[in-house]
Amino acid sequence: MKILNLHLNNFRNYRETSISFSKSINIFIGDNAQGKTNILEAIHILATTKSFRSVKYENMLKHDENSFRIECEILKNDVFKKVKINYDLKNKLFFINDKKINKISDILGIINVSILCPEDIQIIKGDSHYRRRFIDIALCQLDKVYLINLIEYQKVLRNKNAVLKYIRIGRAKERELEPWNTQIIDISREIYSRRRDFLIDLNEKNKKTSFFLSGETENIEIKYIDDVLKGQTSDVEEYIKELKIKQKRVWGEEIKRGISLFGPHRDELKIEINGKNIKHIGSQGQQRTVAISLRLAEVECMYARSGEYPILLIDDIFSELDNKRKAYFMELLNRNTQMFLTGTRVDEFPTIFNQAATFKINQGSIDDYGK
Amino acid sequence: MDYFSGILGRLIDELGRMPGIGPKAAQRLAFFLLRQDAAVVQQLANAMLEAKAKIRPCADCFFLAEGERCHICSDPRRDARLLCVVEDPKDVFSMERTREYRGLYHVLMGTLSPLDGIGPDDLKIAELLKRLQAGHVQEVIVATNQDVEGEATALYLNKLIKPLGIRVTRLASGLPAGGDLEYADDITISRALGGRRELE
Repeated sequence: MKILNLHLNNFRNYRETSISFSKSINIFIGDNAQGKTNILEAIHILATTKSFRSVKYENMLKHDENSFRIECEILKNDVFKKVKINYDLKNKLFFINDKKINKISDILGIINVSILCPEDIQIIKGDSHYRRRFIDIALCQLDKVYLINLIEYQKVLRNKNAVLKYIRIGRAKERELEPWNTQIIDISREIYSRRRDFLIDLNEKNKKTSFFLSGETENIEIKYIDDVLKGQTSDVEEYIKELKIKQKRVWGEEIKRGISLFGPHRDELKIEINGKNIKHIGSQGQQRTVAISLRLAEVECMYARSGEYPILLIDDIFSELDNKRKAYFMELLNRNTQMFLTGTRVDEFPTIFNQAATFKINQGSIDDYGK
Repeated sequence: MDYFSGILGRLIDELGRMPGIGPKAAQRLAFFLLRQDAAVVQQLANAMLEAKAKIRPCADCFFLAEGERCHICSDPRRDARLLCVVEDPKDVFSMERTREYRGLYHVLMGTLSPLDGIGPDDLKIAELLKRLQAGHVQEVIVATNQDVEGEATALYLNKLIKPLGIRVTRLASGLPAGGDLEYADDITISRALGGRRELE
């Protein structure tokens, strides 16, 4: 799958811009805050419906505008497709070949992407929300059933929290909680087993990518610390049994505090290096390496499941990589992967600049860089 | 839109309130009405007024009725042992189109949806229980939608009805009839797989 071109209208600092891409490497050069990352962000939105910078749509509007449009043409399995989003403060509408798409689940999986950016360090250092988000975005692109379960789960959870709120003010009875709890348990079964299986894959791939990056045989493991078994066993029935026990145990406290206290929204992911939490013992450099290694493992998982490498969006970090790490990306290039990279100077891309399509970004305008 | 003011503007505004009718369609309808004979427009207006005046919820099942009871509840050939619970009067039409179902209905007039502030007291649940306590019904078929609100409503009703000794069933979810597996979406296939049955 390749992205052939991109059209932006009132998105971030772009008024009206069209770019044609190379099917292999695309490099965007420019000073800071000129709009390089915005291009990667636009691609990420078309692929996943979300920005990787966790911002709201309204904050991606060009100043003083109230709608934006992002559009691209892709070539997938020898078929051309047009993917488009229109946003106007009230609605976000997605289109494939100008036909409106009603379900978000029909957009995900059309374009698969993986992003490597400086913020990835949060997967290691940040709170558990960043790690859940990391696996959720990868899994949602690969597994529609997971995506739909996740959307339903969030809907059930919001409804349950509303009931809890009403119980507190005496406008609902305790028995109204039960239908939502029953659904939480049902959906948790799907979410748990899919997260568990994905993490098995991810760990296996990460062993390879991490060895490649560091050359060391450190034992890095991403542990699934689920809400009830805390990762002790990985049997679904056991998990459901414990979840039901916890549901009964926290019932009173949920009502007292007005929040949901059990379920996969409380799952944790712990990253260990030789059995110790990397958050506490890893050096800055080590943590960075693990973040990159996890991203590459994600890329390999996506390849293993879909038979195709995702499009790589590499924001700002290429210059930090040593030659060995750069070699990994070169290897991916040889395997026909399309890449989009950003940087401030040409000499950050010593070996690949000459074979890339290069663009100069300056205050929201895009020009060919020339060689 | 501002080109139209006065009487025509008001007509377009009124038509534009209807579901599925945008500004363009409202204009088209307005011009259509203007082109018709006065008698045709009168007929339409009468039909709307008459429907509004005479159609009200059935006293038993809350489906649309022209008198006290709807034509289904007052049909002696219907099987009073079966009761199908639906969200909306529209759903009764869907079920009736099949000509397969011969029991009675109960329209809830919505689903549990705490996010929208809708709880059990906002639905026709108390009325349902009262009907069931009369004792003719042997099976309740819950035919609410297959979304999280429809499912919550079904689960909630099950808890209330089971203790009355009445069988509670739920419409099966699965592949569309005559449907090609190739064209079914992933979640439908996944759920159909979960609800698979043994061949006899």
